[in-house]
Amino acid sequence: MSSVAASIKARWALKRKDTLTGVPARRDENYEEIIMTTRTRTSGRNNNNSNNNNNNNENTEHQRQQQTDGASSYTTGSTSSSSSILRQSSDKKRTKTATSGVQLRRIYGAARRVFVNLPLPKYELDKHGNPKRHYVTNKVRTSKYTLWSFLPKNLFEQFRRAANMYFLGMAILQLIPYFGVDSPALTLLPICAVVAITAIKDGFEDYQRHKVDARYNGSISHTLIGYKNPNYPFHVPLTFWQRLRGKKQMTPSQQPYQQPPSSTSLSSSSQQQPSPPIATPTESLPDDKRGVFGRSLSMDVRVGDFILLRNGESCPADAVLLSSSDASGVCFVETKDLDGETNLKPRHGIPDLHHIQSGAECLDDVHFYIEAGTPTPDLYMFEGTLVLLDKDQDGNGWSERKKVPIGIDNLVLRGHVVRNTHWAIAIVLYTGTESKIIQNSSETPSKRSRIEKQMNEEVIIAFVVLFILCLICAILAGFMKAADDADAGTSLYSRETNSPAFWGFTNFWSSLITFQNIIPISLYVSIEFVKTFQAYFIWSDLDMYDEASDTACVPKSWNLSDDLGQVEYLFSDKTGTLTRNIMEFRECSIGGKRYGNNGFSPESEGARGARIRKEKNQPAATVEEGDQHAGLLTTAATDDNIVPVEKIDTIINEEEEEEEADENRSFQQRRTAIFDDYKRALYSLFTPCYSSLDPNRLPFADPRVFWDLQPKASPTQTSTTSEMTAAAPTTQDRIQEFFMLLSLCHTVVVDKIDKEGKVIMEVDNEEIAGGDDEEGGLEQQSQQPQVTDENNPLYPGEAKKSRGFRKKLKKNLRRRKKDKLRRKSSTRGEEFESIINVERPDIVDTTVETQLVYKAESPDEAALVSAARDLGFSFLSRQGKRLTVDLLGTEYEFQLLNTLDFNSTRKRMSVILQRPYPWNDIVLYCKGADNVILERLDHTDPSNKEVLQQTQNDIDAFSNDGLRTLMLAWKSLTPEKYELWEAEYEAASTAAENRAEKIDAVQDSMEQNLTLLGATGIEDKLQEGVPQCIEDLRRAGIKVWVLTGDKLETAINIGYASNLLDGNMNLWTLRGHDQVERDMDDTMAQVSAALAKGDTTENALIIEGAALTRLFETDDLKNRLLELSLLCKSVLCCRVSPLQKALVVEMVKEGKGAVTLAVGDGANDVSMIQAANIGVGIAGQEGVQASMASDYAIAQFRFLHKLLLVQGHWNYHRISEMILNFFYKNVLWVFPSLWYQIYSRFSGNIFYDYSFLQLYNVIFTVAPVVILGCTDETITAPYLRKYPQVYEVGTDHRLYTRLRYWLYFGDAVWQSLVLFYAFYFAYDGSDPNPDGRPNSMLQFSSAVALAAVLVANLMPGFNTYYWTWFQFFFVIAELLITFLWVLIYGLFQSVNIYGMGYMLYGGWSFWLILLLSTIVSFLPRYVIVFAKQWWYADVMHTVRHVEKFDKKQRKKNRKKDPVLKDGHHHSSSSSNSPFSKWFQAFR
Amino acid sequence: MSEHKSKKPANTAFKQQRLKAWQPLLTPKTVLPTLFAVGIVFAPIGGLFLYASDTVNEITIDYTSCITATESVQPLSDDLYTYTFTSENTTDIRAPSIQLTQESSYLTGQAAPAGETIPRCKITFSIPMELHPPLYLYYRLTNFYQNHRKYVKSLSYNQLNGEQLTAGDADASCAPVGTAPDGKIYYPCGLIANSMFNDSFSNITLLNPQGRNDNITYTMSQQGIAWHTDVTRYQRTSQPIEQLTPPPNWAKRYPNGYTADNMFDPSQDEHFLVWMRTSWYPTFRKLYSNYNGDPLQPGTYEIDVDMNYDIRTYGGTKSIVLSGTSFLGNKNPFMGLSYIIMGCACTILGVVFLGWHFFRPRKLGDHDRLSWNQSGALNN
Repeated sequence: MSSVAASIKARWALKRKDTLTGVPARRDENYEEIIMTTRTRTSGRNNNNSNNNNNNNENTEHQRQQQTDGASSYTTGSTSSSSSILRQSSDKKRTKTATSGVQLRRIYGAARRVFVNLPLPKYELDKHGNPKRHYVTNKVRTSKYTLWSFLPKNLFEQFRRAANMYFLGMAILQLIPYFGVDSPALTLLPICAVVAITAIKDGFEDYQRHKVDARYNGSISHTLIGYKNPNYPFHVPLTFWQRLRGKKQMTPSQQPYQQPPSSTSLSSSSQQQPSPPIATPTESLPDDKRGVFGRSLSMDVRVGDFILLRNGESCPADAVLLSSSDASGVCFVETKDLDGETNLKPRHGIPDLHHIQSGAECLDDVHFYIEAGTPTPDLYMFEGTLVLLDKDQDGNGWSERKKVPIGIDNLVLRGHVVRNTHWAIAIVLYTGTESKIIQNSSETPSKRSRIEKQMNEEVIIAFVVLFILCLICAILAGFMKAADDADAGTSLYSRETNSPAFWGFTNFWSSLITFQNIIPISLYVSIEFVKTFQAYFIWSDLDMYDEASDTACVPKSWNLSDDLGQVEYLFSDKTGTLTRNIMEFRECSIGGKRYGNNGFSPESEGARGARIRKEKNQPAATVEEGDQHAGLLTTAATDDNIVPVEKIDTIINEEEEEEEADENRSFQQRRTAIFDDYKRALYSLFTPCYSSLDPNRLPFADPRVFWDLQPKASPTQTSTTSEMTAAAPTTQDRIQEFFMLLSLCHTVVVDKIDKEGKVIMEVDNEEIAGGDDEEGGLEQQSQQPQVTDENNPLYPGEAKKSRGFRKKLKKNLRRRKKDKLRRKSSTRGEEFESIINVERPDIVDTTVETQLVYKAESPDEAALVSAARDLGFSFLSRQGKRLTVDLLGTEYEFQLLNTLDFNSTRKRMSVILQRPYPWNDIVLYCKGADNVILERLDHTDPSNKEVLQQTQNDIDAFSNDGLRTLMLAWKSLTPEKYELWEAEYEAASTAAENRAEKIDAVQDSMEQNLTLLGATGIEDKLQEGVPQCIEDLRRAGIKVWVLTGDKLETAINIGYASNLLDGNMNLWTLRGHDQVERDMDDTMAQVSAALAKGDTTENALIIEGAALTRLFETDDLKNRLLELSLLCKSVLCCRVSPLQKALVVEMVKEGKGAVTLAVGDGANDVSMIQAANIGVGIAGQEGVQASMASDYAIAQFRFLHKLLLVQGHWNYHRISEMILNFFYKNVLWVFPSLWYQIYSRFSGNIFYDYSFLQLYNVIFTVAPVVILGCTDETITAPYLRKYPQVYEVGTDHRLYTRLRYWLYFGDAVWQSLVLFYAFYFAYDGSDPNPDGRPNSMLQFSSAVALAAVLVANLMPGFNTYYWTWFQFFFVIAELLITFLWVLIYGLFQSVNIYGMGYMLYGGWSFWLILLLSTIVSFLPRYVIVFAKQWWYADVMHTVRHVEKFDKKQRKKNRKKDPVLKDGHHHSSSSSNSPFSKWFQAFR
Repeated sequence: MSEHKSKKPANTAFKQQRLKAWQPLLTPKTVLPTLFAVGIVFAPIGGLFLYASDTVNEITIDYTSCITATESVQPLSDDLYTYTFTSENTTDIRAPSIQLTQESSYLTGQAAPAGETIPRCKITFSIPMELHPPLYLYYRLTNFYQNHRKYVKSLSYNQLNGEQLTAGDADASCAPVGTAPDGKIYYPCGLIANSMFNDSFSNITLLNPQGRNDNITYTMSQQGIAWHTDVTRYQRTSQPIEQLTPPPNWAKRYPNGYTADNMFDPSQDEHFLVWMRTSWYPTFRKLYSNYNGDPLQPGTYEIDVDMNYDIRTYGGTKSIVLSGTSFLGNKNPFMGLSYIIMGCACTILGVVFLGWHFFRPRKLGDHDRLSWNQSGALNN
């Protein structure tokens, strides 16, 4: 054995060398070679074949032979019994030449070798003949609990929390008889209540997760009927239920099947049957079902299964694509669930398996295994090998035919949705938790809000206070005991002989019981409740509901609602967040003539924002120099002093709206006129079939284009389709070429959609039939995999034991539900149905005869092609190299010769086309960034000069309007020239070395001497209301940073458009990599010098990704960068990677300790969203990744305004006030007990009756605080919107501070003193009962308890700014409950406070002292709060005053003007009687 | 089910948080009137309370020292008694005097144990004016920690409610007075019961009234002194007599232990019920008897007390209190004073704020503070 070990070691070394010498690197370093031998001696052909395949390895052949030493091997076809692996291998050594190298590495861990239509090698089997390897199921489980594990698991989870442990400990302590609390029920009540409520909440949440799981797991996918997956055991014990029903047909595998893995039976079976053994149809399977794809649940899909993916279906697991309806095996997938990109990506089948066109072929024709590594979350990396095997001619063994490397291009991942492909067949490789999407869906990091973190410190303080109190009591108790021992008094109450020390010790614990309530037991559960409520309010906020996408704001993390009110830094993505990711073709410049600036399309958001800003700045400057905000406020103020308007919501906007309406009307008229012209011009030229004539869909409608396209009756030009003359091109030609370029130079794919918005299946159109596959056509179509609606019968039987009765039933139920869903959503993938909006009817354009929808890799491209389409240059279809285009009503077919792809370094894209008659020539079309194209223009032609100059001016104008520009150019080629180039290109693309560079060079050589056609201006549409929203956020003191992957110029464009930058700002740019350090210091020096001088010019910093890379290298640079950026009003980061986004967020979050919010919409924003304190996902165009990872998912950027400035501010106030009140009421409750200890010799006597003690926190005082936390509003929404600066109380964290905590603490101590001593003095030495009956301990303590409950309930009321009927109701209810509790609970003879109701309520004194103590205890707070709010009001209270003032004014006006009163405002129309008011309050 | 359900939130006042609400705002317009109103209303009310308290007459006589007194009548020193009478006519008030006698039987009629005499304190005091019933006779103990944890917990409600206790139960809840050394359970068990105050007081007698030869005895009722709820609460125990024994300090009351005839019944013994309502403060008074007959005439009165309770072992004192009540209970000026002080404080605060408001007036809804704050925030 030792020799074996030695050889393994030796091989270790060898293998590592292999790796170094260029043999393909292998993932597992620790592996063994296992030779899959075939009987090559009897099969020369195979031998050759495999030898050929192993040519590359020839030089290592020798080594390998050595390596087989000690390696295990197996034979499938051989007759050897292979009892001893070792012997076998040594045999091999001897028969060196006879070995064929079907090599199997030993695979470890979750790496895998998946066998398809092959028997498993012996080493993969255990002694029962079942596969050793077990793959995870495709069932995804995100739920935490099952029905059975819920109770123990949830309890365990809950008691892991320190607070719950503490209260459990306290409960146990109280159950110890020594401390003599005699009511176990009451002892356990609070903790049980808290735990039960939390458990119910957890249970509900988990139930939701179960439902989601069930939906994912239960979606339908199609697997091959009759296929036996060799990777799973064939013999599955019948489940109980199956046995009961005796379902034989469920388990074809139970037939005495020959496999596996006896080689003799394999050979015999294969000899008897024409087809390979694996695919043997079982007897129970009728022939017509064989090779048919049947339905199975997504959770039942297993590794090694054939799956059929149809158009619109989503892939249930990571699978290797084998073939597709496309002859070249290409399958387009939509990946937005994984990476957030909406464009379609091609995935390629295995070239050698393209012939598979039916399920039967899957069963019969293919034998291979796939080697793949451990599953990784990397979406862009995959390495694997697919090894095709051939059966030996005699059918006894296997030989390797071909090794095919497979990469990420061959993989269809779980969550991919098949598009533009009729069907595809794939082999499942990774399932369930091993699939990439699930590996990627890391748990959103659990975030805790700032207040929560701080609150925990306060809880610790409370613990310290508790400890101190207990210690004091313990020590004093010890002294008292010592004194008692020396005193006669001892005999009264303490005959025990314990030492004072022991007495002190036990007293510590009894004090703990007495004071335990200083830790608010219900605080945590209340906070959870309140935050749930706040989440509910956020969710149901109409202002954050997007009508178009039917989405409300969805809070995903419910515990961050208070952070929303404290955001100091807001990081925003650009594309899809600030902008809509909708590109609109706005303007173009053709041959120096500008089209599209005719006022047809409305002003863009960006331009509008800039205009408004400018207008706003004007009055501001006159009022107060340099202080824009003050100015704004003043205008607002004077505004409503003069015109107090009825509805405050509209105060600000009404006038503007009217103006706008006027403007709108005239604009619409102008627009209609233009459009009519446009339409007329269009019809004069051609009859549109594909062009849209819906003015609301057209961003561009310039009739001049058509006018200029009209054939001019000029002498030089005789016909529109004349051959190109050498003379200078006419405008008409230019325009034509221009739009031909747009419709031809791109990589878009087309969908035709019907009137309901559904994609017309490709079967119905000629694409498949008439595809460029020569023998394609009908035959191919007939070969398409058959699909049955029946369930695949193999699965349930083969599945695991656990799949019993219950599951089956559930499955059926679910199926029925699914069926319903199917009917609704026909062909679309169900797994992620919520986010697919193919069906949205609004994409249907009724003005179009045949509607074409373009799907492109970038939205710019789609915009360009669509624009060309609407102008009569419609791109119809792409079949391989043939592009069909409808040019002004005539269809032409272009032969695509080459595509020179776009990439970020080339910044251009070109196509070379063979044009049909009437051109009959070869042209190159090129579009790209202006600077890139400029270099490549033919500058020799002087006539171009003028055009060039004009075009450049236009380009400048475009970018000033915030448009993205592209330049278009072309040239025509002679066939000879092209042939020459083509050969060069061919050579370059097959070059062994420096291929990429060579290709680049060749491409570059082609794209020279171009003729300029013109330029396009595309609007990157801003989201609605973005500039206004950003303006308001900034007025609220939130610093907005934009982090974008776009280039600098675009970022600055958007910066201006969205109000982040304005003309008066100093822009500082940090770019590049090397100089940046010095640049930064320079900037810093200048900026701080300017600030020191009192320069009020605002600064803006623009940083490029490359600079960031450098600056993030050391902490010192990072800190300096932070410092600099904090001096700037706006910061824009461009060209940043997703990781850098997260780093920037973290830099500010940690460096400044500020609350940060990141908002983004794409997968590239996920890291940033997770890094920030609050992540907000825009649930819009780009997939769901961002909104999945986010804490709040909103539909529009502008909703941030309401989310932060209104909801956030409220929630911050609510949570702060609630927590402070919570601490307050507990301190208030505990301290009378302390005062009482003074008079009871610190004996640890519990002051309150036990029922009060336990119910105070759970019942008596909880509701008003919670209502305060749920519904209080400092200022109503319209005023918060009007005065965003109120938000600064949050950014400064003013509402929840340590100081305020101590103030509340102090107030509680004061109030406890008042309550205790009011009753103390009233009861001391006399008795308060008029009938002479003496007072007692319980009467006194109950009186204090009631007073404390009263004050503790009034306090949240006092702190409530917004008394809705809830607050009235619950304050009153709590007081009633408490006071009635004493009365009713006191009716039971067995309780301590028996009869207390009568004792207390019977006399005057109790009520009078109650009144007295309440007034006195509130007096200081009342007076101080008044003085502060009135004379030293902060923003918040000032605005409250303003609101009140406005309300009064309105009331006055209403009185003056009764017409208004009876008018449309029915809220004010009812009389002012209190009843009607109440009635309204309750509605 | 099949139709598309919009996710649009309902536009209700609740969901949109537009509920009608009262938004209280502390402005001079609301605060100043409130303060003045409190002052104006509560200060006079306080005066009323003070007056009510002053109408209560009260006599407190500390007779702790009586146990060491002699047969001769000796006046009490000034610090051992207080007289508070509403009548101005206090000139003929004599200091109370005490006198100890040894008697052969208790005031309750029970004979003294063999060979022992009962020390009885005769207390004489004067009442200068006519006292109108109801009048209440209290005993008052000081330095008696009836609120000590050990003490408070040492009782068994089960036993008092009539249930049977095992010796273990008794020891658990009544320690250290749970079971007697002979294994019998104390009934009632516990420290509270054991330390029950057992001095007994006689009726009060007017000595040598004007115009009459014989003394007038005013009968004090010892019924109705406990809360009626307590009376119905406790039951006589159902435990066999032979398992029970009286607490150690009750030996004089039950010299021969319990028999079928003299079995202790908590519901019948109101003094016990009163005692069991433990006090919250080491100085306390408990009701002994009340008087509801004719008004007490001015004169000198005598009351006899059986000195059974040795308060000195606890380091405290005992007194008798004869007092009337007002609707606020016994005499206690606190309520009146505190209301007056509160009223005054509120008024003063009101004046202060009025002045402040006068010298630094602000208008509701002025914005200047907003901009001030805004620029302040910008400077941060």
